[in-house]
Amino acid sequence: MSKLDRRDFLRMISALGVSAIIPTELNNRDVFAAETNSDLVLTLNIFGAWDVSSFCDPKLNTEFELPINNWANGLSDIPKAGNIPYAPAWDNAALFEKYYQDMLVINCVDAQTNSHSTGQVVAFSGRLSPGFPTITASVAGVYGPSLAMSYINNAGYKGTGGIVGVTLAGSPQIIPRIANYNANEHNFSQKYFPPNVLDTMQVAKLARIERQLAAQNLFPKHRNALSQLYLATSNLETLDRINDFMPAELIVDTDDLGQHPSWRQAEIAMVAYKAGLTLSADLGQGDNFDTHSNHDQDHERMMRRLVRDIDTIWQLAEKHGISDRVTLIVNSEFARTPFYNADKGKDHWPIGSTIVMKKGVPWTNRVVGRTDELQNGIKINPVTLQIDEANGSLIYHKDVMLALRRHFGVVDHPSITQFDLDTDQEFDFFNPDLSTPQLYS
Amino acid sequence: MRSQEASLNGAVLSLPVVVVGQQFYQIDLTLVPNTEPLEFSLSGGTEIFGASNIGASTLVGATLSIPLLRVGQVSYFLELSLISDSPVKFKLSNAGIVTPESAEIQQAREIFGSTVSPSIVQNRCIVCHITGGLSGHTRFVLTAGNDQVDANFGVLSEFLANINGGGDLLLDKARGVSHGGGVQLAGDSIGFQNFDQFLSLLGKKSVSESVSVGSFFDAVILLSRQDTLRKATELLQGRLATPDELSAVEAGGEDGLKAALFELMNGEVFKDFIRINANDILLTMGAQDISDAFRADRFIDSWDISLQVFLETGDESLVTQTKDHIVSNYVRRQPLELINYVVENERPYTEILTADYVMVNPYTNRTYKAGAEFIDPKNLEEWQPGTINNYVLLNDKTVYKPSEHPFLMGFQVPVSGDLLDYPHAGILNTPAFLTRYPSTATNRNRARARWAYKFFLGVDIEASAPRTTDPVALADTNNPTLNNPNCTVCHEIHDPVAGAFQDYGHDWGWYKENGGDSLDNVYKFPEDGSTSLYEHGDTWYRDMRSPGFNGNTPAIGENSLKWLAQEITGDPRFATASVQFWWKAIFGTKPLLIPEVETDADFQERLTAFEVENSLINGLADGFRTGFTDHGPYNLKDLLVEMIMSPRFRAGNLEGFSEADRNAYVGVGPGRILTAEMMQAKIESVLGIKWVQYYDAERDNEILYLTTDYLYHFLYGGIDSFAITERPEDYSTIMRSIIELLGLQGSGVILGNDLIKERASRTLFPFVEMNTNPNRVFRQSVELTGDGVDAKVVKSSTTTFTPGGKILSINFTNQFIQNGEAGEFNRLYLERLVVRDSQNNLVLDVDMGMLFDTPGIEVPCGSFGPGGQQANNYWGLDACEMKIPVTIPKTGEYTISVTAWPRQYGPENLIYTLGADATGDMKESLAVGAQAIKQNIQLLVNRLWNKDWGIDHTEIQIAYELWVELYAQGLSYKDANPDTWFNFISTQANAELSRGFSWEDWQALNTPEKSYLDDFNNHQQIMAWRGLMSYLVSDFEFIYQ
Repeated sequence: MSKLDRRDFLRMISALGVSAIIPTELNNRDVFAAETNSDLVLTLNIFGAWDVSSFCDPKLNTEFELPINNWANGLSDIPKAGNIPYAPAWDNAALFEKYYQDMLVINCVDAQTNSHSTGQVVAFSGRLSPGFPTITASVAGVYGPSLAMSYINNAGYKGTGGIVGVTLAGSPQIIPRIANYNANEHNFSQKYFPPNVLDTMQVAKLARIERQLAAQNLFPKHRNALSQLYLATSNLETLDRINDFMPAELIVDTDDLGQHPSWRQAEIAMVAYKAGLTLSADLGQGDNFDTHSNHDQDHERMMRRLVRDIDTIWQLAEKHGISDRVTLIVNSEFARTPFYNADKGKDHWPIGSTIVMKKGVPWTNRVVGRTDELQNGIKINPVTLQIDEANGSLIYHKDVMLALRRHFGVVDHPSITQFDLDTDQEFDFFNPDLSTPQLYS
Repeated sequence: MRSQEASLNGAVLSLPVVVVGQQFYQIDLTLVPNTEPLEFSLSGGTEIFGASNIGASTLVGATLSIPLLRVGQVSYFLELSLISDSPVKFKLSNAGIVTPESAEIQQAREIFGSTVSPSIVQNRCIVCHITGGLSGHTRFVLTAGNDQVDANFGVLSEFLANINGGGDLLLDKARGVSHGGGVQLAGDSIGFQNFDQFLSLLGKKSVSESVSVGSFFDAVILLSRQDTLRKATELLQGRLATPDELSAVEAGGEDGLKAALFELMNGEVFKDFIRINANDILLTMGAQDISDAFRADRFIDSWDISLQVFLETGDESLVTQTKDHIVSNYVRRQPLELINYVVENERPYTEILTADYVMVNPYTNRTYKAGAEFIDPKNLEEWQPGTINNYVLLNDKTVYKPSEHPFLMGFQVPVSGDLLDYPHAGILNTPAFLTRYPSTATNRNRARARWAYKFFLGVDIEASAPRTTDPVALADTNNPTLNNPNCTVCHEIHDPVAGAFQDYGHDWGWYKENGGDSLDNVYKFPEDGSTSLYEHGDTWYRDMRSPGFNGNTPAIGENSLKWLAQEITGDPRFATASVQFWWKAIFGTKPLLIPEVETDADFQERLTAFEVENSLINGLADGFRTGFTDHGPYNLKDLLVEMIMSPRFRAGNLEGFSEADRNAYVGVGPGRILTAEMMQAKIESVLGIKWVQYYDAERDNEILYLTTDYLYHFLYGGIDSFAITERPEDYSTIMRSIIELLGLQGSGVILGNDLIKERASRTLFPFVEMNTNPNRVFRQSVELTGDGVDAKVVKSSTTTFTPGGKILSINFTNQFIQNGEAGEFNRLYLERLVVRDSQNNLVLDVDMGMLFDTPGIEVPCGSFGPGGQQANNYWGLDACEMKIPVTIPKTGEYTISVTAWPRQYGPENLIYTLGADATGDMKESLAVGAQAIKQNIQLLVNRLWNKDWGIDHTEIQIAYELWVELYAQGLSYKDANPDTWFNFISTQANAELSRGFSWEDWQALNTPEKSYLDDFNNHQQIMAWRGLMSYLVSDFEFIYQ
């Protein structure tokens, strides 16, 4: 029995026409992630639709109009941190003052939907219909489709477009135990099988799948399942690398604001990234921002937690020494109405924002995209990013997705080009020399 | 246009429809004699209403245009100019002959009139595409009425003339592509073919075909009846099909298979199947904080189980545990158990919504004072129908006082409000359903209505029409869901059903939550002081549509939710939705969604796949509605049988298609990942273990690796029905590593559980012991009686040898004898060993007193003894194995004779084992041991992989060679690391410690079978079998279906 390496296998099944799950051209960075140039790409999913007018697209109340924000009563101006205006509510100031140099704020992103489920799909994949990969799946699918946990999804839309497998990590702290599958669960140094015997078994298992895959009369589903099984089996031996980077204790994820599920999700993703197992992860912030009633009260509590979450994720990145290798995308399906309803709530509003964070790069400390006083969209020129109501365009999630694809260097990869975002133009969001003048500049 | 055509009757020109601005008129004009150009005077006229302007005459300014006037075989158009308005007179200003229609157009007209109009336009399109209808705002608006053939033909013609690609668009819409009205015509239906032909005659379609719907399954190789039964048995019963069951379907044909499948739909495991899969759709197990739903001021004494626990134990934490977890979980199960009850008793499936009862177990029976009778009141898994008999209004009669047991929300209710009859409506008003899909002040039961539509009518309202993003519409504060067309498109069908839930409150769906209604207080009593629409006695919002369904409304005084249940189950879509509800349970994938983007590369294949599936769904739904058998309509067991009998379930392999066409078979064939729950059932059934992490004796709770949430449940794709609601469709490395754990770790107890049994009762290892190696020719236990040289005896054994080298062995197994508190050591005294062939020719003669002088004999223990009067020199053997080489010249029967006597302590006779092993390459061995191992591997492969392969099958031989390789590696490792080798856990096996079998039980076990497991000499065999088990359980055939 001979053992194919993963590349041999990928070539083999590519020849069999199983391109649906495997890119036809392997990127030369499909190796130990710590040796690659690829960032760890994290998304923080704000489920339920956040109120960006109380965060990164701040709005004061306008005379003769329904009040947008109660916190803005009596205020006449909006503060800025660096070049970024922010809502001076709750704990926002601390976050923006600390991280404005690491933020690119994209305002006026039109979700084109008011449905949560559709909004989640479009916000994280760029298309209203399911089927396209998230940006996290795209990065993983291009730079490491065969890594053991290349793409981890803890929450939210998890579309892969078939270019990478997804690891659903409902309880991330158990991953270390799973990674040590040949060891006593109470004593990782005590093994079940000697290494050479384990290797014999591994070779036999892979050879068996190769024989099954060689059959010519398989349904596509059957063949894809076998291919997935082969990749998962061949990835097993890489799992124990996680032990080299696992801290003695994972972060304590409960504080005075309650439990923060995204913290351990982030830490496990970072450890797995350092171990070369993971390139991207979707983190679930955990709250439901869908405040159709009692908006101020509920949103305040959740926004304070969100601020704490973003800060903690970056602290974790510092702790693990990869803060310069992390990109964090904070996103939600859409936003909330620029007025309160009869139940003191705010309903759905399609014009929202996306924040992209990274340290030590020139394209941050900027805001692009613009809404008016009532959070209506304003067209901008895609090239100059200046307001251009006559000939400009509104920003859609597909435009943000296209910009992110280009930014991460995956836009022209054969795995990705099959997912045409059907954009009319390309916005130059990551050009450090361009910004859109803001309402309260 | 015929009905609007002008006609000439003598001197009277009749114009049935004349459009003047927004008005319609019917007029008659009379020819004025002897005029040139011709003049006409108005001789009659009246305003008409509801006419179509298609093909009508028009009066614009002073010109009256008449598009068509037939005179004999010739058709004319006319233009008249108004020359006088008192009296009204026209003169002919223009006229000409209308070009005759082509043969294709005439044929199209005929097809339209005979089939398209009555069966498609008037039967389907007209439901929405009509002025004032849901699609009245589109560019395709038709006219109702069988006399409107020409008018509607005109609409279609105009549409096709004006819309580029309009023919393809209409065909796609009819098939459901980007069509708010969903599928109207399946691609293989006669109606679709007529529509297709009609559009082709008009030259307006260009649909290309690849895999055709009709021949879709021609290239599919179906599973045999036996394989179908194997697959179904695993799915429905979590076990292997028995030989008797398999024989029966082989003999009974397809009808026999159906009968066998029907028989599988019984028992507790089948109930698990129903419950788990129903919950995968309903997600009612995810109802949050449901213990608050049955609080004591709503349901009299509903917490008395918890209270009893406190009174019995004094433990407050157990009270909370009981209320919030144990009872709550049973409350969550009520909708699922209703389905189980209906299915088990073969009641019409419609009863899941129309049941006037709720299912209760002994606990929930007390929670709801439900009055059910139980066969075994202590059996919490017994569910019986009951009714909620303790629901009370919360009103000014309700009296609270602080509870003497503050852990029960801090209050007690000595006097309750008025007791109400709870109007059961099946699943729809179970506390679990209402709590899982809560409402809010602005949602107003729309979530409940949305899911009722989705689950029971197969209508996804969220996906039925794109939501508006028009800022003007969004900013519309004039009750847009009632008035704004952007919103009414969905809310027109959505909100009446929400209204049918009018009696149920926001969070926990309390019936008449406010004492008489469940309306939101912000609506009833606006905080800003504005005037409320609410009037005393209202039960629904006046600014929403009235409760109803499909344009019908409940009678005054009728309970609207019970009425809705009847309406839904009476709707033909209920049957279709039921098929879709159980689709994933049987086939492992969700029903396909119709592809939306026509420019996608695989659009056509996906459309075909969708249409095939949709056709199957409709066919199954028809049968479900009318009844597949004499069991009657809506028998779910019959439906599941038919689904399993379908080629969709039985598809095994595919032959004869290109790679591109294969894409049409998305979702078909093997490759379903067994869920965590299915794997658990399979592990228990097939492997004989539960895979327990530990047994919590205090709580009598077995902690199972695979289905415990904090262990591997979620990582293996389990759901919590709330935050995690989807099972994975991709197999991850993490999932694979869990299976690796099953193989590496779990194999120890898989072996142990089976090998401690006597051979005859084993299911996994009936052909081997852990000392069976591939070269083993025979083993025989020999018992010696008596004590001392006086008991010397010659014991002979006969066996068949093949030519070549063999190793004879004598292994003394019961040396140590317990004698009171001390022990004694038996000894075996050996004098001679002789081997003769069947002709009594001597092959080997070993003088045991000369062992030191005999090369090749391996004797690890014992000592030489001098002979005497009664014996020659001898060898006294301790507890070890003596090995003696011999060369066999030819195949035949041989007799091995051993002259020996025992030194026996205690009452038990001395026993030794005489054996013979072949030498040479173990993979090529023909020895009995090799055959036994192969035979056992064959059994394991077939059992774990659900195959029926012979012992010579390639995969059996490959598995055997793997076993040999692992065995040889184990031996090598053992030789190289004699002091540490046993530290590898795989060298041992023990029975699973679980409920009913403790560590003490294991230690106390003293059987020959266990001694084989404990024997240090056998550890390399244990490792080999554990390694092979890992190979088997990690295979596609074990973890997929």
